[in-house]
Amino acid sequence: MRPPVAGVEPAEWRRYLYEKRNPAGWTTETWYHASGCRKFFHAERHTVTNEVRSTRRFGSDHVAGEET
Amino acid sequence: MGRGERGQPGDRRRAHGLLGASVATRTASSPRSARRPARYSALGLLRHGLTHEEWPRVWRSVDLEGTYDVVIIGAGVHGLATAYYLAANHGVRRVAVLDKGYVGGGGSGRNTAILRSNYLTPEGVRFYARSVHLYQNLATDLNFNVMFAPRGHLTLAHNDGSLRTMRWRAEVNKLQGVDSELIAPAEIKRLVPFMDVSEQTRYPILGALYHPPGGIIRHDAVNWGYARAADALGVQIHQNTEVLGIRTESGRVTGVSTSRGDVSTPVVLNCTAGWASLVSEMAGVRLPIITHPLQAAVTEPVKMFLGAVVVSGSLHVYVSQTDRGELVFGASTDPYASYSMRGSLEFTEELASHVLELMPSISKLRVLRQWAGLCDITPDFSPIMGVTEVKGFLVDVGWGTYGFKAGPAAGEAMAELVATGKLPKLIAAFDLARFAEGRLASERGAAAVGH
Repeated sequence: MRPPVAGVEPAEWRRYLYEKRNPAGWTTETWYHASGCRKFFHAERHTVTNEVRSTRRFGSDHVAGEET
Repeated sequence: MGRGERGQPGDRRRAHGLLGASVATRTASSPRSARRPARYSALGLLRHGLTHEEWPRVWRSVDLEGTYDVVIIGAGVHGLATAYYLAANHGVRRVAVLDKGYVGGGGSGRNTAILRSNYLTPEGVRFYARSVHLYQNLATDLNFNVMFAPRGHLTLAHNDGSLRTMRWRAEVNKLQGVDSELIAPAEIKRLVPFMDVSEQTRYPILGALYHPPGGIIRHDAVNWGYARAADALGVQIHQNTEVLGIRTESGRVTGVSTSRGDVSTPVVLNCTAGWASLVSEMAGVRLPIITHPLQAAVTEPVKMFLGAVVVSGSLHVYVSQTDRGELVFGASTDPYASYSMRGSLEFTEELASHVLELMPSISKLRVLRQWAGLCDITPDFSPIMGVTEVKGFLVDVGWGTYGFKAGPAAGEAMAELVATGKLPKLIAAFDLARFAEGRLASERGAAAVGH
């Protein structure tokens, strides 16, 4: 989750900037179809097998901060 | 380099540092017997060639013990080098190297085996120069032919921006005493006659950073050489031993749980590259690391024609020719995070087209095989070495696309840190705290291709 702009220690911001999740398993991501329809969409992908379980339109049923 | 300790277990420094006093006393009073390794020599090779007798096993396979002074997770070049230098330089021999797979099965056996020290930051240049120096003497130190071929290393510049970076790197390198110079296309053509340096290409070559001490090495031999030498000094290497958890008590490491039973130890070192963030999470330590696959490929062997290692950042490719005659290609990392080690057709196609831009004459060469390795990428393209907030849990990770060439220097420095408890100056800039304190060491301009 993005920390509030004010009243937060710099260390908190750096944690937000640098400490990403790096899961080995199912993850929900936002993808951009750069060389095609140029649309953003969400995909559930397994990071070990690269299997994609589901995709959905951008913004629909999306849990904010899930991929941070 | 304190090699005098080898073979004289009674006459060595006491281990202090992170191991704690009780451990140090025990190690000093009951030293592990250092087996004398069967030395490899030309005469021995001739004798074996004539008699065809079995070669002795290169390292032992032993039962997992209940206690070690140091447990190293990951039997790649970093883990094995650290174990070797712990035993050879500091007399710390109750060391176990655990790996869920086999020795050198991860990034240490999947890289393109390029060595160089022409980095961008002074800290980086000094560190990698130390590593290249250790590699130069490694065959003698380990009594194992690691086949280091210092053929020279060329980083091509196809635009003004990269030409400027090459000039910058050359000056930083020279200031640190590293042989590195910007050269013109005519000189490139002299070094690599098969390269298309004409102005008619899609991406004309404007110049190159030439680094004569760079070259290639046999990466498997480095892994096996370290494993054999460490084993001979009493280090235990446990393959097929997966670490399932790291036990801590009030902020201090007490042991690890493995697929072959529990082990207690005061020091755990994480040397697991692509899997580094998963292993660190077992100890409750979060790392600023994302894992990306990096693919490579090798062609059928042909007569030796490519003298130097050729790298092109703009064309996302690096190529070298092995002593066997195969061309080894690497590219930039895959654009999305993944733990998959499968190759892809997109990679091969793109790679082939880029290689042919540089060397059109090899278009008939066939690709024999391709593979992928996992790269643990940090935000500043520099590694993370040193202590964490959990006492006794150390990391030697974040090696991205440049870990193999760093193995010896990282191993030497991490061994010193474990044995003495002091952070060696050589790696002080690469600690984990730099991300919280805002002093990043950006190697983006020199660490990899395609950024």
